[in-house]
Amino acid sequence: MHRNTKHRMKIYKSGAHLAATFLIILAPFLFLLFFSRIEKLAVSNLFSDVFVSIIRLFVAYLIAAFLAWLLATTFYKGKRSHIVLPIFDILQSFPTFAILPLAVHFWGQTDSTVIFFLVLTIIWPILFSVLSSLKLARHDWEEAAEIYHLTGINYFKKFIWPLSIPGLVTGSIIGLGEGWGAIVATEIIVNLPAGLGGFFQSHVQSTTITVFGILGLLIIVFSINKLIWTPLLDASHRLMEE
Amino acid sequence: MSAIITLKNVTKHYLEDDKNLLVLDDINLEIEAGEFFILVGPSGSGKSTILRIISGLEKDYKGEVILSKDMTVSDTSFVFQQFALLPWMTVFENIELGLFSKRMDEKTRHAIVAQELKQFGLEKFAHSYPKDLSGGMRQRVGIARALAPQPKIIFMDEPFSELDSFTAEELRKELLQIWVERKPTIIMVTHIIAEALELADRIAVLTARPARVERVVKNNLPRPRMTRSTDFFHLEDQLYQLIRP
Repeated sequence: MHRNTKHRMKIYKSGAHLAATFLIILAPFLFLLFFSRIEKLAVSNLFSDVFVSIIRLFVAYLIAAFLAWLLATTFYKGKRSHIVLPIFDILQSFPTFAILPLAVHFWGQTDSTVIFFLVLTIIWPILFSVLSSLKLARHDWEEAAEIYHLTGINYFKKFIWPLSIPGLVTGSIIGLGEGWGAIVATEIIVNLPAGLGGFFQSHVQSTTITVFGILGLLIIVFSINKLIWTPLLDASHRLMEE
Repeated sequence: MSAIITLKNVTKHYLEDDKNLLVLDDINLEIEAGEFFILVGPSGSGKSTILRIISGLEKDYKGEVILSKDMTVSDTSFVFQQFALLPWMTVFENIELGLFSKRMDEKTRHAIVAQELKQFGLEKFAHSYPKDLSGGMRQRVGIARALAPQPKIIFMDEPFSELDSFTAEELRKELLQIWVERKPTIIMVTHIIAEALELADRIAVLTARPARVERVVKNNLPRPRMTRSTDFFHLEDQLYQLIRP
């Protein structure tokens, strides 16, 4: 294929790239199997702890990304931005853990509490990254959109959305990074039995299990990054290359 | 006379360091349908500002810009100095950009884009991205994008100033040919007098800041223009005198 005709958002460069990616997916599973054998933990428990936390994080991420994108694209320019952006600045500096007891009070020791809290953590990096992406748009791009009457749904689909992708990707990487920290902490504080927080808390007596657990978590985070975010980051940079 | 655009007492101030700076001082112009009209003037004189006001990009000014009755704002398009192609779109999609606001189905839209690609020799690059093109090719895309919606008026803001002189000359010839074929009104800004003389029917000479219309010169040199003829140089000298009093 001619190099020019390659699509800009193509993520996997070759079959070998895809194969290596599959190996990366396997790595955390193999490690969990190996881990459960050595420490004589029930494989099912181990997998379900990891699974439950990832699902919580994933749901929270989807909500946060959607809200952040919506807020950023609504308020990034004009008079609105002068009023709303300073408010965002203050809100994002607010220590979210201060709200945790209140969330527990309302929703109890539930998934909703953890997810609500994660949304509050993940939303800010995404919001600010998307904002900066939109603000970096060259002035004459906006003028071209105006001259050619790109409005309504087309304006969002063909202008705002592609323009916001790089910020969405970088913001997601930072947000999920903070999300991993927050999920373990929240699960421990809220005292949920299932999930990674519960796992670390119930094995606090065994240093080996804790160390293996941390190692496993590192492999999972690494795999997700390699699998999803690094290629997306590359693709989003190519998208804006001039 | 059928003026397609009339400017009446257009005045503009900029606020700079708390000082109210006059940039455009009572600009009055009448531009006729089908005319190739060029604004020249020293750099920083506000030529581009006039173009932005007429095209509707700049909304903060005093005075009136009157379009002829059969015109709407969507009958205009703009060629930018730095091309302003959207980097996430292919050449094809960039040319298509001005067609989404028109009532037409996808098939018609694609047929129009294909036709423009052919006109500008861009067929091979239809699915390339702007970053893979040379400056000349990029501005061809910029001009093709401007022509696709069949505008009555095309605004051009120093469209050749980012190109090397050979490419610029080539593009000027292509533009003239298209202008003869399709007869849109073209309103262009340039700071190169020879360029204005090669292209324009009439040339408005602006003063340095604040910009006033020093004179509107009718360019009667026969087309195609001999850019190395005595008459050409003679007129070029006259215009230089006007700009540098």
